[in-house]
Amino acid sequence: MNRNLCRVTVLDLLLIAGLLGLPGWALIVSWRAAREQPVAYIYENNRLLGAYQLDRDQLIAIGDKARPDMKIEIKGGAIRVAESDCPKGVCKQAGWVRTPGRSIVCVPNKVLIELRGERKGYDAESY
Amino acid sequence: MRAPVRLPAAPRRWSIARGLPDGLSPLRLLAFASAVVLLAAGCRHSGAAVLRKQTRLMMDTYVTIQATGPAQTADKAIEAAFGRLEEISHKFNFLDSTSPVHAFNVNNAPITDPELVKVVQAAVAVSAASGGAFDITVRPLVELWGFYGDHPAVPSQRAIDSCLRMVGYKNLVVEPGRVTKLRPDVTIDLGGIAKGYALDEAARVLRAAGIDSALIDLGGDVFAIGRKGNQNWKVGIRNPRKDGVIGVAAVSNLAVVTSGDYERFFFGPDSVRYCHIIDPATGWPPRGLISTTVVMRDPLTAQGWSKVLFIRGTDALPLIEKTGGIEAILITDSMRAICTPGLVSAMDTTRLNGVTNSAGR
Repeated sequence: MNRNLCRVTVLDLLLIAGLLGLPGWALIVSWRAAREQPVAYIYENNRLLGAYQLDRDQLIAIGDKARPDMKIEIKGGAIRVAESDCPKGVCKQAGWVRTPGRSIVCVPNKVLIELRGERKGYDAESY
Repeated sequence: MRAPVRLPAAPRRWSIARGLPDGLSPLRLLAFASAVVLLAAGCRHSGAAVLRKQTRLMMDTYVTIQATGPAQTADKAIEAAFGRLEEISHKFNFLDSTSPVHAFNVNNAPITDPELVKVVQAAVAVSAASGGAFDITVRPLVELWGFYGDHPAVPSQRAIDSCLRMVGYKNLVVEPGRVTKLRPDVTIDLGGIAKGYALDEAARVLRAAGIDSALIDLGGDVFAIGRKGNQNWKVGIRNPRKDGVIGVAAVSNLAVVTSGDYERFFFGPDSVRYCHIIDPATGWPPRGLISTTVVMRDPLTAQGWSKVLFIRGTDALPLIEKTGGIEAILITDSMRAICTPGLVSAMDTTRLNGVTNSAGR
């Protein structure tokens, strides 16, 4: 039998490792992303202010630092509007939110908090 | 004479059963083939259908549009749909002093805009079919309860009685191309039904732009165009009392619209929850149900029917059966779910979390 048949060069090994490794890496990344908690995207006037992981407790001030319009609280994997100067306080009434796909809207302050992440089996929510 | 024998060319050196050129091992060939396949798979999507999604704050809520198609087509279609929603937002906003609805309410100017006339006609049709349970002239009562302002509160019964005189869809005169009123103090709020019209129009714009698979979420009022791949779009129905959903409806070319007591409400001095949906007959927020969802083809009147169910409760179930084409799920204040048979079959009932289920008819 020709010995060339079984001759594996370093290049072959690198190519095989790459081909097997890439999908494997992609699988691990997507699996970890699915396990991760949702991320809160906070918009003001349709402009993204920032994306916040819900695994780190923090207080986010919106507006003037000395006198913020809103204070958004992240605690224990959930997010809520803790304080808002809006007249009706509808955003505060939404309470704690932790499910991907849920949003909190403050119309007077033009602030949208959108939770993104793996939504459990649906594309939109009717409410 | 024998024909000359053509000799085979000198054999090249093959590595396996004369199948592979010299220097190319099977492993190398396999790896090369795999690379080509992967590359091809990666390139395949350059003009293929992708799911595009955009969210914007508008119409006093947030709007999310998902559309499937070639990226550029989908993006353009979504942009056009948002443009149309902006137009509707202005035209239907009675708080906007330049809108025709404001002129009708404040200056008694007849409504002649064809779009507005069409929507008022649709609203009045639901009012007539429901015995006035849904009524766009309920505006003075909503104002009296303070839901347009900063501090909602329980008004006096006297004030409610006084306000009730200004309420009644029969005070609207709907003629071809024109809406007028019998009493100058009659005013309208097209807020709810305008969202339905906006869903309808956004869907029309998306379809005209070549999109046959999309999901429009207008602050919780949802319309599904076509299907998502080979499956129906899945719309969760919010649990009215805690985070999460009570069920998921799989829908295609249908609107899913919900009314509930949990979006705008306050607790009175009696610790009772008062929501912004007011019964035009009594002047008070209805009791008994905390959420109603309708699933139907026409997004324009879906909000109206959802409110009819919220206000009239299970008494309205025969009415929607008679109307036809409407499926519904009602959640009572004891967290019991009442589902019409058609919706039971479209719902993932294994996800009815935290509620008990019972057939509606």
